[in-house]
Amino acid sequence: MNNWELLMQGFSVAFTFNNAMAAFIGALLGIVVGAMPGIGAAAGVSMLLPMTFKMNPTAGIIMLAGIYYGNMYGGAYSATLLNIPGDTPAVVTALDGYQLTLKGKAGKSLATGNYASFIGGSIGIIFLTIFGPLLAEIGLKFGPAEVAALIFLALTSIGWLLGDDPVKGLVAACLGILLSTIGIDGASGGARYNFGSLNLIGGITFVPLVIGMFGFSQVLEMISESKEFKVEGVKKLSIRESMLTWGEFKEIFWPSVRSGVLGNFIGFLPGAGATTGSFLAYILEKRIGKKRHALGTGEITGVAVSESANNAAAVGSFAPLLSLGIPGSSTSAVLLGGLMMWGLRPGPLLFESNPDFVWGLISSMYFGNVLCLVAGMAVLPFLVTFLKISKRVMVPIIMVICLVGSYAVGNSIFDMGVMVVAGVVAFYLKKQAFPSSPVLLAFVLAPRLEVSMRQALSISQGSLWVFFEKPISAVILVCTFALLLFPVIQKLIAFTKARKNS
Amino acid sequence: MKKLFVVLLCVLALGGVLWAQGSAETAKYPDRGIEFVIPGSAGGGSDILGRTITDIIQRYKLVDQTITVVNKGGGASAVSHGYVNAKSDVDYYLLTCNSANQLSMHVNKSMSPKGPFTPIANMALDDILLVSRAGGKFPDWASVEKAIKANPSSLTVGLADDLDAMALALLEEKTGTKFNPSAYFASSGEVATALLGGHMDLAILNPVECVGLVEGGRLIAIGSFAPKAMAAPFEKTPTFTALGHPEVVMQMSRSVIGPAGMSREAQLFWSDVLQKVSETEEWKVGYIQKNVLEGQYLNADDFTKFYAESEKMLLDFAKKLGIL
Amino acid sequence: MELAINLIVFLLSAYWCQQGVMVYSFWNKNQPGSGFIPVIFSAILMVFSFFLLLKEIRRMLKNRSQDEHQAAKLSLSDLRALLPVVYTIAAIVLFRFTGVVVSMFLTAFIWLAFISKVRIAKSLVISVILTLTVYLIFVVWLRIPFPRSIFGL
Repeated sequence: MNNWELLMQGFSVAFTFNNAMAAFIGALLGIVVGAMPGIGAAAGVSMLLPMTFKMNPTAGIIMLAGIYYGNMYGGAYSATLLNIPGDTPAVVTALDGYQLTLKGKAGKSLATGNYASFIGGSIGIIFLTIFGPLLAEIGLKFGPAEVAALIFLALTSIGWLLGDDPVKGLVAACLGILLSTIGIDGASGGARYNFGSLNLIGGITFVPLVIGMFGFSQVLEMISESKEFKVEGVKKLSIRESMLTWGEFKEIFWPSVRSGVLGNFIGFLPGAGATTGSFLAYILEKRIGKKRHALGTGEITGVAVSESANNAAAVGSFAPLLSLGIPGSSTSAVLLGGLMMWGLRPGPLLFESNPDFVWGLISSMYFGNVLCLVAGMAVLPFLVTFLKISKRVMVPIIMVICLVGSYAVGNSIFDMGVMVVAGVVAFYLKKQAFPSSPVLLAFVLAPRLEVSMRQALSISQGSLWVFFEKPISAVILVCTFALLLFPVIQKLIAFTKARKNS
Repeated sequence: MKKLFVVLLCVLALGGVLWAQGSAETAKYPDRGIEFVIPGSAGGGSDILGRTITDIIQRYKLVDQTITVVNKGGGASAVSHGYVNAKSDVDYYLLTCNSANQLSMHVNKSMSPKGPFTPIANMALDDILLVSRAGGKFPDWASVEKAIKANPSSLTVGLADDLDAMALALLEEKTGTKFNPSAYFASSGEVATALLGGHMDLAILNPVECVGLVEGGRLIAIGSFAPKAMAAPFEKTPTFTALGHPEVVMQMSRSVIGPAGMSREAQLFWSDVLQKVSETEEWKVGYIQKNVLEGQYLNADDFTKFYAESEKMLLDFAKKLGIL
Repeated sequence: MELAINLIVFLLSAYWCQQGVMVYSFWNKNQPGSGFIPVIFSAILMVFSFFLLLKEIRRMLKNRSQDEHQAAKLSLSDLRALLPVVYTIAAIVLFRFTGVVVSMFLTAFIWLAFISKVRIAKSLVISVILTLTVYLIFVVWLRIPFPRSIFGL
């Protein structure tokens, strides 16, 4: 039987009433959990895992998968409306999404997020269907050296990509890296920079940092500026206003496809993750996109690339999970636990020994993705009314969400303190035009770079040559340096031209 | 008037919820959710142990409260130990433990200043395997031995924790070889990935961590540290004893522990719950048999004794091999 | 302000660099040590923050009088921002002792009624709805172990 027949057979599994219901409930729950700051996909899936034990394995995993990608849709909502990313990959979505909200185009941003999520998800699923196990094999080619090179590429782009002043962007990115080194060093196990505090030994938790730097700092801004939290044109915002025009749709279509493919690819690499995926997609768009100069000031393309890439990456991480039994992300690891509980053993044999299950899952993804889009569009009007709330009322609501969200992630009061401090620091940095998103992105990427780099160096016994002798990492590094030098050369050319003219 | 009514209604509703929750509350431990901390990233041996236990507890409703599994991988279990040590409500945390974590506590000095962890129950014994890639240069131990003796330090071995390092040190000492040990990976899942991708030559893994890949014909176990021949699908794997190195024998325990200073009540509660877990069919067949382990339940008191003994043995051994 | 930030960042990176070299080892036994990444990036940070520091000092020397005028204006809004900070810290303390429901209700209600000056009835409704939502999602559904107090909440 070829993949096509298996898929069709899978559809007949997925379209039974029970399984369709499971996919629908999963998608809806996922959207809610995703929009909650402080609870990411991994936590949501593991909290809801016990619920699925009463179902049969196929219905159970279909529902869990629904929660997983529903979560990717939901993360964008709070990022757009409140500037508090609901989960990590949505940090990139917030860059343009919140700017759009300030321009009074929140509806458009949310709709774009939905469409792009759908496009990215579909690309991921189609790739998974056609190539499945093959994808995982390509992923294996990325060892520590290659992953280190890839993350180095992303990291070097952070500073000058975001913010108006590249020097300030760089300073912010470096600050993020230094913050990430607090706590136990992932490669050797020793504690560092913890200032003798037990709370800091485990490192600074990411979620309170995000909530503080994005959400709480905004409360401070609203209060200090004492001007009304102004959203123009709120009253006419309706679902019809939110729909994209054909022109706008065309504008986001190709960027979404591009970043979907890229995000999907990043998704099945071991140890890269959806955040790296959406950020690399953003970098790509900033380099080659039509609207590259306006990106970051509130462009629907910015929302589209980020959302498309993180959905594609989420689906991508299923490839190594199903075909090798190796989870590509923390969420797929929880799913692995579920699979084992149902007596399935993910590994090279799963596709042969349980085709019903595997293809049922894959085809349920097509279905679940459509459901997510429908559910996402259906909640739009409710989300938009949220914007009509005045600043006076909004401030305490955001405060409560920030507090509860930062506690919920690690059940720790210390994290609430981290949130407040991060908010204050981000507020004063922002006042002096230091952007705060580089801090966060560098904070996520730096530990991965460090661990992969040190693994690569230990395999090579300390020789730096390892990064250049492997073709894949060599190519990535050459690209990195080209990207780094490109603006410099551009400036030099402009400079000599200007000199010639004068 | 209407508004006042609405307000009144809301207050009543809130009051009702408060009251209902208050009366439903009992003083019996555990009165709230538990966090089960895994010193390793998802997909590794510790993760599978923790998740299986949690799933069985929830399936049989052995505990009323929810148990949330939290992965804190990295730094050879130091990250998770640091995480738990920072908590003050010690009765609400459980950790998986194994001989490797026990050793790491001393190597990385990651024990709490409040004292040692609280032993709760031993669950199983696990074997250790030397694994290589199928279709690669090393289909058996003889080929590895030949290559490494001709060219010391030329082969890279992936390790996930200190016990793996100790197993390798033991193998090196008794067979007179010298490998290039790779740095610690956050989890055995990463080690397996790097081995599959050809980024290193060999790896030390537990059966549970590679059984799917061995069955699927992607990895070969070329030697086991077990005292006797192993069950399927590792029946073809020779023990190092059979390969002529009778001193290369090592097993590890898989257990559950609590943070330092956990109350006696909590310790006994979980010891009981885990006994019930170890008696279920899911555990015996779905976990022990399927992952080629040896079931060995020890309750809190027996395990405390065993824990102290095995700790001393491990440390002596580690000092002899120069790891500590 | 800008001066202070750059100075703090510069000193912080210097500390990171010093610790990285002296305590955590940059390179040992043919391997990068724990201090490898911190030292590299703190060195970069030192260079850039020093650059910004110099730039700011130069700018300040150039137009001194303008700055003074601006500084007085800035400090007022800077201080206003401290209000929510103090308020939130109080909320965290309350949270620690009275549990999530009581503390989050009061956090929302007091701000609404006395700082935002929304009508009491409306404030009450909003804070009850907010607290109820938080309770239902985080406590009932997701079972996050919050601190508890009276009534076991």
